[in-house]
Amino acid sequence: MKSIDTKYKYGFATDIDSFKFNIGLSEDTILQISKIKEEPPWLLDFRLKAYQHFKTLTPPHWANLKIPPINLDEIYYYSAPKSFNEKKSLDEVDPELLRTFAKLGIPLEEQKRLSSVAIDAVFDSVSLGTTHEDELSKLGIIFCSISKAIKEYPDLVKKYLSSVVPHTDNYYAALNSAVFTDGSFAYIPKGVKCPMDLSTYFRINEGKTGQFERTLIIAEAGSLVNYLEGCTAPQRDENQLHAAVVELIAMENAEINYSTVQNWYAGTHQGVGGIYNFVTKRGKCLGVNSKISWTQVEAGSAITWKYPSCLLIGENSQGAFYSVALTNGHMQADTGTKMIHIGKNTKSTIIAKGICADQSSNTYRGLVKILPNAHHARNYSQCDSMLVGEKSKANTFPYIEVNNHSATIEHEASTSKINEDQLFYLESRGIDREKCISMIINGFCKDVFKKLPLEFAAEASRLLEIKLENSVG
Amino acid sequence: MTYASSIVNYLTNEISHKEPVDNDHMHLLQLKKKLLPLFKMHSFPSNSEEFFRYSKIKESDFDHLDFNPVPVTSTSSTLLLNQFSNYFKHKIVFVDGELSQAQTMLPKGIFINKITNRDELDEAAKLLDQKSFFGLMNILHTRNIYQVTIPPDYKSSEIISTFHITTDNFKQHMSTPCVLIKALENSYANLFSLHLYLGIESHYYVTNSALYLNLKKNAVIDFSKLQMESDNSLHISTIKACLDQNAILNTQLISLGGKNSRENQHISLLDQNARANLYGLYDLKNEMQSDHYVEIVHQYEKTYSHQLFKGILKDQSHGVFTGKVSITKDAKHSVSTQLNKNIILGEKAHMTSRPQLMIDTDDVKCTHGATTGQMDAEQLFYLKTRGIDDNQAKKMLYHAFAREIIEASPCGKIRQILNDYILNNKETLSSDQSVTNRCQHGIFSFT
Amino acid sequence: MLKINNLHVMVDDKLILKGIDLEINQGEIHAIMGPNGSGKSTLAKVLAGHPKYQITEGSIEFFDGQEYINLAELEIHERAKSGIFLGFQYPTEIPGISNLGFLRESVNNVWKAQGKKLLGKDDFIDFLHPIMDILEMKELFLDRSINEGFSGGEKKKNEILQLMILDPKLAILDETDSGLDIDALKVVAEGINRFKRPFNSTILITHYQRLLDHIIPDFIHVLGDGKIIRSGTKDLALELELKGYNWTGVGK
Repeated sequence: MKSIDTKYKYGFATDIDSFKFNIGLSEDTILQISKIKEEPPWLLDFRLKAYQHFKTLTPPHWANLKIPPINLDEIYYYSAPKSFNEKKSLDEVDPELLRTFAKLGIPLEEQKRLSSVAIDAVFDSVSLGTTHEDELSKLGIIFCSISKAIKEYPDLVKKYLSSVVPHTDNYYAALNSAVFTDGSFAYIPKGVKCPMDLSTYFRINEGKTGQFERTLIIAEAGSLVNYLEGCTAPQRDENQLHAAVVELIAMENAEINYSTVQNWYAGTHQGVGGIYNFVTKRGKCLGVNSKISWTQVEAGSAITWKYPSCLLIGENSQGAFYSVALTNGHMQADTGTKMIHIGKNTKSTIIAKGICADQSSNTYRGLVKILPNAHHARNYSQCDSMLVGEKSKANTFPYIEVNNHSATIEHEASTSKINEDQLFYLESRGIDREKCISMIINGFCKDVFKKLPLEFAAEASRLLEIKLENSVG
Repeated sequence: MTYASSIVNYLTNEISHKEPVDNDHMHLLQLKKKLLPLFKMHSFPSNSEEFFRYSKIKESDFDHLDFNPVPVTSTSSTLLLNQFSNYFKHKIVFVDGELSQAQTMLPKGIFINKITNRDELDEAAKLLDQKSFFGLMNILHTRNIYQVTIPPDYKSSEIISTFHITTDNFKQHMSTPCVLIKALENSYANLFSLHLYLGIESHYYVTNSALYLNLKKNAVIDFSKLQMESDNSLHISTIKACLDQNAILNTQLISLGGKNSRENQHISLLDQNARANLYGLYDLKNEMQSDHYVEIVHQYEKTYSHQLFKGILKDQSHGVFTGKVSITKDAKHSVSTQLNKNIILGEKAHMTSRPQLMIDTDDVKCTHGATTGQMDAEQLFYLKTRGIDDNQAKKMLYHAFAREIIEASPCGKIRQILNDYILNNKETLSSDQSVTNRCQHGIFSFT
Repeated sequence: MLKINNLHVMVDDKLILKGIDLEINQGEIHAIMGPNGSGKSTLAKVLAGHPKYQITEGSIEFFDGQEYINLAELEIHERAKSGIFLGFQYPTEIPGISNLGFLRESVNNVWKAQGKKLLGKDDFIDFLHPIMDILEMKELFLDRSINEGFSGGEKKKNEILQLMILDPKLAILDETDSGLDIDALKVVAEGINRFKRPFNSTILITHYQRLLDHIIPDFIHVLGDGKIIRSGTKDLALELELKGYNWTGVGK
């Protein structure tokens, strides 16, 4: 097994003048953020309250992760290109930035835009703009940066912000609530099936900055939205922190499908640098028959710590979690989901696949909790791990708590290595070894990949191939 | 700092402030003196500790207990044992926590003796659980550590049983039997352990028992345990086993009694081809709680483990299952399977299941699974269409469910006993009528 | 024997049977045919009392030897004791209960309710043997778990074995012929023919005509979209075979 640095083609940094706050975290930082974003007083209050609470907390250590202490005072909490001006449209954005996004595969110029996907492009702490905004607003759909939403739709934001993840939820959620700078806001009105996929692309550029993004998606009764999240960051030697909060709310008969292909810089093969990805993602299936699904391919970041979850409140609501988590080099991941069954006849499905190579450590942690009134709740979980190489560590920690007698729960898990017989069979048909391995792993992940939108599925497949290139042999 | 002051005070008195009664107890007392400070520094396992999160064992369970031994009366225990004597010729008998030499009879070549000699005690101490709170409590409180050696090449399928009988006199007391069984090379032993309460009223008492099994090369032990303690009692049991090359340990734990029971099993597979098969059945009613904690560590290549635990939960009972399997770096080519199946019959019953896998090497095959649900409605319907009424149909399905665990024992006699006790209703034991608090849910700590 | 009046049955909030009228007298064999989804199995299940199937309108009356009783008032096992038998289309597997144990339990319950004398274990096995021979079933079948690992044909034979042992007044056989090869079909048909006598009745639910070559029905009813759309004598089966269900107006 060779140890050559994995090729991370997004590792370039954009040379652009940026404006940053003074380094460090204090009440002043928060006041500055609120001021530069011209936020209404209620939001400043929200931030300060969260900050006060945050100060009373200590970083949690129960996960199966070795997290070196993070000095929050050595991070820039705000960084934006100097040329940035909120009032400018996307076309008026600094060409250097447009080139950056084009290089990342996300053309933002009007002529070159993807017509089937609306994109909100976030660069460090600001949203550069959102494509197709006007088109969507004709249908009553609001899709814009959260900073814009706070100004233009304060009532909506105020009503739902932190209703799913309160600032008291955990350490990183409190931090995020205090210092979040941007993210996406989507509102789909009653009965509207969003005609195109909505997506946000997060790009960290400036060194030593933390990215604290906040996303809020509200789907009114009978609506449908497919949302995609992409992210990359430049290759640097220091670790950078990405602590995001995503809240989803689905009303009666609404459906939200949230997909992520996470490819943050994971550090070198020796474990230097890389992003710390500590995220709180939660969806509330509030209305009857509502549905929320989380599909994720986690292939990057030095340390991943996230549990996209669903609160199944409305009767007949359904939650789903499909995940492929790949770790190699010295990456660490402790990820999974929580499905909390509260209302009657709720259903949840969990399919989690972990691929663990080199000296990485990959932990699945999942909670299925059936509360006493969740009559006839059903859950099916399948967690499989594939180990590549002798030094990798895979752990599976499911927690199943059933407090209702009419619930039916099924959980299966398996851990194995790549099947030698299958490998031999493919190789004997003339396919080279590395390709065989990626075919087998693709087969292993098939159940999850088929839940991703097509373009993402292809990208995810290729991503795994590249990542595993130097880990198998 | 431990808070269970009642037991701390008692132990301090007995250990720090006393001198050995006789030579027999000298070395054991020295060991206890060494361990007492450790125990005092240990905190009582509480909800914040991962593996005690769902346990309902509280410090107050140890208040108002009389930690002194109780004088043995022979009446009721002899009556019962006479009843069993056909089945159980060879038996070790503990009555109210103390070994009854008179009633103990072992096959030729096998003896049970107190470990009194210093070298033997040092040797035994290596195996003892000197780390956990209840493990320490057991060593510190037990009057004697007993040892049974199965000689090399001993091969008899005669059951060697250990009876732990508790009588009416044992109300508000605690027993801490501590037994080491060494199965030497190439031996085979068929062990049966019965924890039985003979009293009429459901008295409260605590059992904190420890059983250490040391299996040498090629040794095989079949171990079955039937727990039928008082409906009001607290039963804590730890089985710790080490398996050498080619050794095989099969355990079968049947929990039918006790208000709160905690069965710990710690198995270390130390050398190639060591194999552990663990089976368990917990049948809970009223407000019973049963917590099975299993930890199997595969420390060598080509080791194997299998777990099958099944539960039936009626009324407001609470079941907990934690099955931890650790495969270390040196345990390539190991295979581990685990399954936990639960049927919830009571509207307010609940189950917490945590199968866990920790794998540090590749080239292993591990699976685990857990299901929780009701009795299969289609199966019930099928039986009823054949004229079998609801109650009877449910009984038959219950039998079918439990059967898989009963059949795990290769010994016909044991299967018969288990059949009789599990399937033919244990209404012989007085059922608990007292109303107690609802179970509390563990607070989940991760984000 | 059986009177079904304007029967409406709902399952999972969907109305499947939309007004069935049927009368079955002693000694008669009625075949019920129809395309998939027409409600054949639903009729079988509701007669046996499956909890998921609800009667929303109409009634079923069964003659228990003395008077007509409302079948809905009888519990599942009581129906069996009164002499109603359902041969399942997909017999359920129950691992952990031996066939012998199950058959004995069932027979003991039903015979006891019917005032018949119960048999000891060995006598019971002796009683089973000739019937098993007719059905070409081997001895070791008795030790296996109920239907576990059985092929389709073996499962169906097990149903007919139970039919012959329990000897009900009314047998409802749901697609007993599906999945059977020619030899198994002959054996199963033999069993059914031996069962039928002047004092009992049979409802044969079938998809195909070929079972009716072996068991001649007195009446044939075609079920379509929850109703009986056509009734006739045994010749109707041949017409259906030739012309297909559409000819009867099913689906229109």
